[in-house]
Amino acid sequence: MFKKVSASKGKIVTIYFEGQPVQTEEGMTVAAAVLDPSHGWSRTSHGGQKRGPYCQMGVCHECLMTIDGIPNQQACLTMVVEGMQVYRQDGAPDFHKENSHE
Amino acid sequence: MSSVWDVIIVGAGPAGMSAAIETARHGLSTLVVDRQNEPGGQIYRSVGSSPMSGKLGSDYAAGLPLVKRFLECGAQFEAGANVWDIAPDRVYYSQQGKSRFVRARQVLLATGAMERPVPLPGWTLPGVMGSGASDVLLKSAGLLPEGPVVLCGNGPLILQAAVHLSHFKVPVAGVLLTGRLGNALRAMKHAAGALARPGYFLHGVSMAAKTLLKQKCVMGVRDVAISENGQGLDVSFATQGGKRKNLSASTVLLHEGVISESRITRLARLRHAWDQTQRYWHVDATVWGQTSAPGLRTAGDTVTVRGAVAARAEGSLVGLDICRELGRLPLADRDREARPFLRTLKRCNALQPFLDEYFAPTPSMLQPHPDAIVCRCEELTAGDLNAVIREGCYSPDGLKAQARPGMGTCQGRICGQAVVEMIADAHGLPLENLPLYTAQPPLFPLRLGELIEMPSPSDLL
Ligand code: FES
Repeated sequence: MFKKVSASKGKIVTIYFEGQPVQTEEGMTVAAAVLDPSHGWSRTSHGGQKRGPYCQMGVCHECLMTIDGIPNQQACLTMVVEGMQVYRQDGAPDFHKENSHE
Repeated sequence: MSSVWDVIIVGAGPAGMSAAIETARHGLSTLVVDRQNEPGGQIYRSVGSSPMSGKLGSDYAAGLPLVKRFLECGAQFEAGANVWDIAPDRVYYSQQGKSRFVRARQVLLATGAMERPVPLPGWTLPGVMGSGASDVLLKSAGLLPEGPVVLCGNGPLILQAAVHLSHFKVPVAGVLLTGRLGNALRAMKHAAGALARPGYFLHGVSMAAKTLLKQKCVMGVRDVAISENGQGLDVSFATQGGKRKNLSASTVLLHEGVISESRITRLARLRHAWDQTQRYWHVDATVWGQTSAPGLRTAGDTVTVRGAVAARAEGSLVGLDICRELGRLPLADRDREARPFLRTLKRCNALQPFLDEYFAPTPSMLQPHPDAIVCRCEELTAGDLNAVIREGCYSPDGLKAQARPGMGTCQGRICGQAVVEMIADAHGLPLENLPLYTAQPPLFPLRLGELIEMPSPSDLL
């Protein structure tokens, strides 16, 4: 859906989106890194509609995902880190499943 | 890190960086916090590291020396720092899951602007995004949609997006322009001002000419609706003559101009003003960034959307005046050093009425179709909200209490302006009498644990 128009500059890192490895580079936001493997959707609304990052700058909150066990993270403001686990957020976050961030 | 500073600047865009360069140069301890990972703001987004540096024209490249000067100026820069509350002399922010607060003698809010959200049916579908979002992806990640792309909206940035897409050979199915055809005529009375920045003006004209020649443009477009069609997206719209047409796309980029991001200045209960032509609320401030609250300043697009050149000049002026206020710069020196920035600002101000009028939003575009989701967080359509408004709801806060728009995680950033337009239209109220939602802390979702763990600086105990 999106293509690279310029050669990468950053170091290659691997993150996991819905359990699947995704190669990306340092300096990318999670929202940008998973744009293709996620087919552009990052979460579902309360009513179950698919939603995708809309603003890429921290305003709309459509990119909320569960990152390393913490729900409600703005993927467009979070930078990728080697080994990061990224999951789509299904409706409202399930805080009972939240892992500690420590 | 110290918890008390001479100056705290929120936002490392053109205005914030320029202000920091002045205050740090005059020996004031300066802390700059920004949500992004790098300085630059949205216009110079990632310019220091971008794979696209040098490939996006001179306006973008102009950010590089500024970012360099900023990083070397001696101000402390905190990246990934999300400000969630401010109080007199105090700024609270969250960084990597931890919150803290810092204090300062002067606080500058330079949080910039955002694209005006204009709800239409199907704008919540994946594959539809702001044209600014696509611009961010291009600058920060070197990513562009594969196309076909449909661009839809009004404003100079949509022309720029069209030029970028065609430069990188991305297929564009169409550019749907939603501006009013009469705007050009209305703008002519400000034409003399446009010549105050001839270079900028000609650049704009050439972008428009390139777009009109190379792309399939449709002017005066109305009633846009997006739907899924199995392979991708389908954009349906009405032309000026009233005919309905369709275009297929894999990505749709929407843009209806840029408005000040006023949540933080509203949270601070500062005096705001309504911009009649461009239709948005913005904080009211003097040329030195003085707001209605002493010690709390503002600069750049937060005050009025005029773009990066004006924001840089304003930031410098505010920085200089902070130096005067804190005793580092005698008044006469401030005035002397301010001269070139005042000249730049004057030229920008002369051009702005032309742009504002030419790209004035079309009122009918601002009244969403009943099926359009207005509040994306709470999934409320214009139909849902209009029913409550017509029953007798006269203010955004009232509507929020009755029907929940603005109660989700974005806290009304997306639906705020739309709701104001809807209430004004339904009851025939003047927009300047309708303030946006009252802003509440925290400005962003925050874990309760993070609040509890927030340390108090020892000097306050
Ligand atoms: S995409 Fe809008 S907040 Fe992340």
